[in-house]
Amino acid sequence: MNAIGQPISRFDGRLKVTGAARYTADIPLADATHAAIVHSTIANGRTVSIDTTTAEKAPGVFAVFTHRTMPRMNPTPKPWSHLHPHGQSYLPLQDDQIHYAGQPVALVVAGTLDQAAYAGTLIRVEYDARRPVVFGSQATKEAVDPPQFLWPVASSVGDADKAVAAAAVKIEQTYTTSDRHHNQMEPHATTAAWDADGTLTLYETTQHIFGTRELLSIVLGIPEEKINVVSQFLGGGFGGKAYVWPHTLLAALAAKVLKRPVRLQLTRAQMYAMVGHQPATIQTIALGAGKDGKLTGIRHDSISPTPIFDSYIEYAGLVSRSLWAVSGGITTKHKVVHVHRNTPTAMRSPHEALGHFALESAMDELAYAIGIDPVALRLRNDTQLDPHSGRPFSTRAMRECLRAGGARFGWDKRTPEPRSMRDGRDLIGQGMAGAIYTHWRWPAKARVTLKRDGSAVVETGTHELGAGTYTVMQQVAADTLGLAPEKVTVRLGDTRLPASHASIGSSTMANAGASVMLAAKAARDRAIDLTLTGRNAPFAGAVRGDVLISDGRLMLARTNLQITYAELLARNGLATLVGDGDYDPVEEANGPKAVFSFAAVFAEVRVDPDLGLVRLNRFVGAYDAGRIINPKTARSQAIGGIIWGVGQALLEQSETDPVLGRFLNRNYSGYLVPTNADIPQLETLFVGEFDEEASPLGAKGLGELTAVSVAPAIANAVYHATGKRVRELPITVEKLL
Amino acid sequence: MHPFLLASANDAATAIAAHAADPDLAYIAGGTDLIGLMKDRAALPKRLLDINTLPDMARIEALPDGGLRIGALARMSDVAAHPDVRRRFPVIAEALLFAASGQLRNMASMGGNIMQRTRCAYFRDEDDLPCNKRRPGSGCSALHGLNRNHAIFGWSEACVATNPSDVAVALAALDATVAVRGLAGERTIPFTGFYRLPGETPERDNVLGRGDLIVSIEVPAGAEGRASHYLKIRDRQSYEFAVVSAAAAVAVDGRRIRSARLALGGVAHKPWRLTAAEVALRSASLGDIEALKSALATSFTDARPLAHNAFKVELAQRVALRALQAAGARA
Amino acid sequence: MNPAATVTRGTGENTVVGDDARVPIGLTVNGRVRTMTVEPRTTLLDALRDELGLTGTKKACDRGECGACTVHVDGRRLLSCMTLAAMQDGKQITTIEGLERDGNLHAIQAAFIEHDGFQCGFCTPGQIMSAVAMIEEAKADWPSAATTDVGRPFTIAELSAAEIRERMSGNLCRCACYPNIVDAVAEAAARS
Ligand SMILES: Cc1cc2nc3c(=O)[nH]c(=O)nc-3n(C[C@H](O)[C@H](O)[C@H](O)COP(=O)(O)OP(=O)(O)OC[C@H]3O[C@@H](n4cnc5c(N)ncnc54)[C@H](O)[C@@H]3O)c2cc1C
Ligand code: SF4
Ligand code: FES
Ligand code: FES
Repeated sequence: MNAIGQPISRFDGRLKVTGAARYTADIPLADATHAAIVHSTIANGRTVSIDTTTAEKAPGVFAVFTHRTMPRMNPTPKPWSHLHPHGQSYLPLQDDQIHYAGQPVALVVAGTLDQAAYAGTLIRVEYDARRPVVFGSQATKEAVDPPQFLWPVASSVGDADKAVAAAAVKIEQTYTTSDRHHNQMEPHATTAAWDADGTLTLYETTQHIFGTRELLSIVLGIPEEKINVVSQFLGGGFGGKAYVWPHTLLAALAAKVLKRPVRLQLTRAQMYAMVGHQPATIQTIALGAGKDGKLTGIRHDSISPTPIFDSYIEYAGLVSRSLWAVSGGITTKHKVVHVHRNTPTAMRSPHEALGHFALESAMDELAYAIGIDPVALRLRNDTQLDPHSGRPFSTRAMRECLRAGGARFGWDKRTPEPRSMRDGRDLIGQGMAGAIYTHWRWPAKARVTLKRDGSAVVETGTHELGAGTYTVMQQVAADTLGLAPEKVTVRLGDTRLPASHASIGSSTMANAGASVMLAAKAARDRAIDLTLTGRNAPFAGAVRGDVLISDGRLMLARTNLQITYAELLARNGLATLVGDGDYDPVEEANGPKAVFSFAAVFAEVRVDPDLGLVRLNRFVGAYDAGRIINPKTARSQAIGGIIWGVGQALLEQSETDPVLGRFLNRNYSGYLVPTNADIPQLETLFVGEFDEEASPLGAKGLGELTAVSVAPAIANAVYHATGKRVRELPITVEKLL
Repeated sequence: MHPFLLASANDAATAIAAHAADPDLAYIAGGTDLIGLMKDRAALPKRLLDINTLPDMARIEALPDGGLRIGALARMSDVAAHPDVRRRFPVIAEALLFAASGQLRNMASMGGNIMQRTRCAYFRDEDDLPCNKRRPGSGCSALHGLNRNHAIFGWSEACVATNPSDVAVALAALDATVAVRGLAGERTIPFTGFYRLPGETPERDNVLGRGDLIVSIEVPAGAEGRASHYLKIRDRQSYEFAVVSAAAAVAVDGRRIRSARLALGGVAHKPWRLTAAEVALRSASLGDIEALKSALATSFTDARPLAHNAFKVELAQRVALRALQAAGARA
Repeated sequence: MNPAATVTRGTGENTVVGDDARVPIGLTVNGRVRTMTVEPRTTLLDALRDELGLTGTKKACDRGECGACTVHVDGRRLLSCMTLAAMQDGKQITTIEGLERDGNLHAIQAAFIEHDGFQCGFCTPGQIMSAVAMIEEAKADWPSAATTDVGRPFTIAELSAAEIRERMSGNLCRCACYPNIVDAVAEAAARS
């Protein structure tokens, strides 16, 4: 009776299909007021005056805050850290400066949302506007070296320049990706409520309750013990809800001043500048290779935009550090251009999804330049040694991904010549790409409580973003305890529970999951102790290793002796038995092995050559994400990732008006995410195995891996179909006419 | 939204009188365009008049001569599902089905559809950006801004927006007429004369004035109706406005075109009839692609693309050709 | 309709009367008559969520661009963010909270669980409400943009995956569960 590895339906499924799951903006709160943000309509300059008199007198209005009246905040802590992550360092309503379009200039609090929003339109703001700097053709000239952020900004192994210069075959190209927005279906929302003793409870759309608490404590200057952060159901995160954004701070302070709960939900339009986005990249790649296709050198440089006040780096070059074996050398470098916009942030899948487009497109170009099959080229450059760190990979089933994925796809039936495959009037193209994804290790705590009725409760401060956390934690605890999954209840998303990490980088299963396993183990071990040495111990004198547990029943091997958890607790006069789990892994960089997830993906497109229309026909992804805990939710993660990649490849871009310096089309009509009709059947294969280096559960990250390399596979398929190499995402009609 | 009053009317005359007398009053039907505009403050009526209670305006009638009369309050989905619409004028059903979504089509009325305002992102932005259509005299942000989705025909320096309605393209191709009741009684406006080019007054989309209420849309019988097709190109497969679209209807003798009617969407401030091409296509053979292409090209000599939409000039011709062929295949 | 302001026949120049106070309305929501007063500007979505506490219906775009707020009005699926509550006075409204019968999930709800037709679940009430009505539309011979020949009658037997995809495209899902949604809807449609 193993729950792990079973395609179990979601524990929280019923809540979600009946509308009973409560997301942040659904939580009923007596006495709540509604807040609306008024944002700047210019991108650079300052406010000269803000006239709030009419707004203050509008029906239902309790208060209007501007930079003159909003209480002061402490600066965000330096250096930036995942422990107290701010989305941006520039804090709202603290001065008269305007650094980006959409920046808060006032906050209105009223009885209803309509009242607050309408009163906001009555505020007259006079600006002293200056021309904004936007990210564009000047970018390469104005790019500067940023300070280090998540990883070193540049890397160098061997001598890539020399290797590329001396290579028999060279590919040197520039690839670009567009600004994109998370556009989670659930807009960011926050409800702040202070109680009489000065404790703040914050219902927040966050992927990181503890980080939110710590940052709020620092910026608002209140002790952590006086803050509770709650996030039990999140309507999608994708990285965008991992850090603390300005509106949350505003809601918390407004509620404090007004001594009433304040609810603030961003409008869809505000989702484009009040919170982060994925910045565009301009990437230059140089590949050097021998005639046999073996890589001798890679140079991968990337430039991305960042605000005037922050240096966010999109590490597009990261992927080139470790994906393929390179004999001569690898260098990567990242630069930023300071422009008038808000701070970008991690978005599924940060760094990797962008870098792969360049690297895996260039690999396809290399395959064609040499005249070798793209899969064969990858096989030839496969490696069990991380070229960047020199460490062996813990597990790397790239070969298996390429083989199994290719077989399922029918890659061997592909004719390599561009424009050689047709279906009626349409051109058919097939393309593929390899993928690698960073593994994150974080400390995490959990508590598992066995109860007298034979059930168990898991408590841990992690989050449910849609990946199925409630369900997989239930499976892990159930197996470890020897209980049926239905007997396990999971509680998460509250800082009053044991502390866990940010649910980012596909790290929840491996890390939070490990803490749950450890906690369940501790509870189980305490139960076993009781069977051996407790009151009226049923297995007194036996050895621990002979105690087996199944279906809530502890049994002694080779005997008829047995006792249920329920009976055991009763016999010992215990209401509960508690196990604590404290997972504290070494940082990935300090481990003996390099841990990454891997994939090989295969796309078939149909192109109408007259009309320039590209449609995805079918797609196969083969993934090495270590052990799969729940194949059903894992497949959902994978199809989601593939579809994210389809969006990146064919649809998504946030365009900036060159004069106004603002994102235009701040809505679902103008920012196109895929619809159901855009997506054919998708096939997913999981070929990974237990990776003990990655996690005690054997799991590696999956969710973000699956969004990586979809775009280059599609772009490569488009080349195969049409003979046109598109190096700028997204691939829209005009690029193929 | 801003506060406003809501009222309803039980007869057309009262509604028309109220609308004529009150410049701050707007009719509301399905609300799917007007409410969006109000939320983005691109429309700020002080009073709304719910016309859904007006009698006899939701009917879809198959006329004995083979034509159609579609009430202004008929919902897009009902029109698209109506057997006579589908049989007699597939181009209308297709134009409707390729528009918006199932939910929106259940709400949206035909009158509201042909009245919907441009999707120009500057026009719709809640931040009230420079836009002559929204605020006359404030300038046109799109002219030198992002204008991929804008016009290639008939635009002025004052405004380069396109009309977003799909079904209007089909109706224009079919020479439909709009029955309007105003203070002075009922009149019939040919579809081709219903919309305006922007000129110096882009704030006016069409020729209707205060009081005017669209009562119905009439589609004349014609041999071209049945052999008709709507082709819509959009970046994603569904739930999106057209990049370019074409409605085509043909009558043939054998494979030879007796008469063709063509209109394009996504290229101008109104559905763009390809009048010159229609003349040039007469007696061309549907099988002679080159002849069809050069006939179509005659309507593109006056195309004036903007910085980001030059591709539409070529794309529109290919879309028109494909639509024509598909319509021909139904003949 | 029962608004404070009514146009009455022949009242001369100032035909519209009333003020912006709240207007009383009555909706039958999930089988129960609910009376309330709303401002004319209150959307059906806000009335359901804020006045009636029915938070299963979600606000994701508030502009008719996503489908998260889909409910049934007199049996038809529509977007509650794009209509005014006062315009729906007297109508029958069904929300996600009203789909269960005697504690049993609707077939579509069960199929969504079985096929994992959701991840975060935020778009899910809208998807499900849309799917329930969509199957009825298909049964009523409604064609779609995926129908090759709209001139022919449509039968539910022709409700292919391509048809379901197109008919469900008014409901965006950013977690992107589309293939599983199609499987769930296909199963429920086949059984219905
Ligand atoms: C997300 C989204 C996607 C869409 N996609 C498409 C698409 O792809 N293709 C497409 O064609 N459309 C599309 N639409 C537009 C949709 O079709 C229109 O909003 C709808 O048809 C308007 O009809 P309505 O009854 O809701 O109009 P309302 O919003 O009620 O009214 C619109 C305007 O028409 C006026 N009006 C209404 N009825 C009359 C009348 N009888 N006489 C005089 N004036 C009248 C109103 O005063 C108002 O100014 C989309 C809309 C949305 C929100
Ligand atoms: S194109 Fe027309 S609608 Fe758009 S900004 Fe210019 S004037 Fe306004
Ligand atoms: S919230 Fe109504 S359609 Fe998006
Ligand atoms: S399940 Fe998350 S948006 Fe659809």
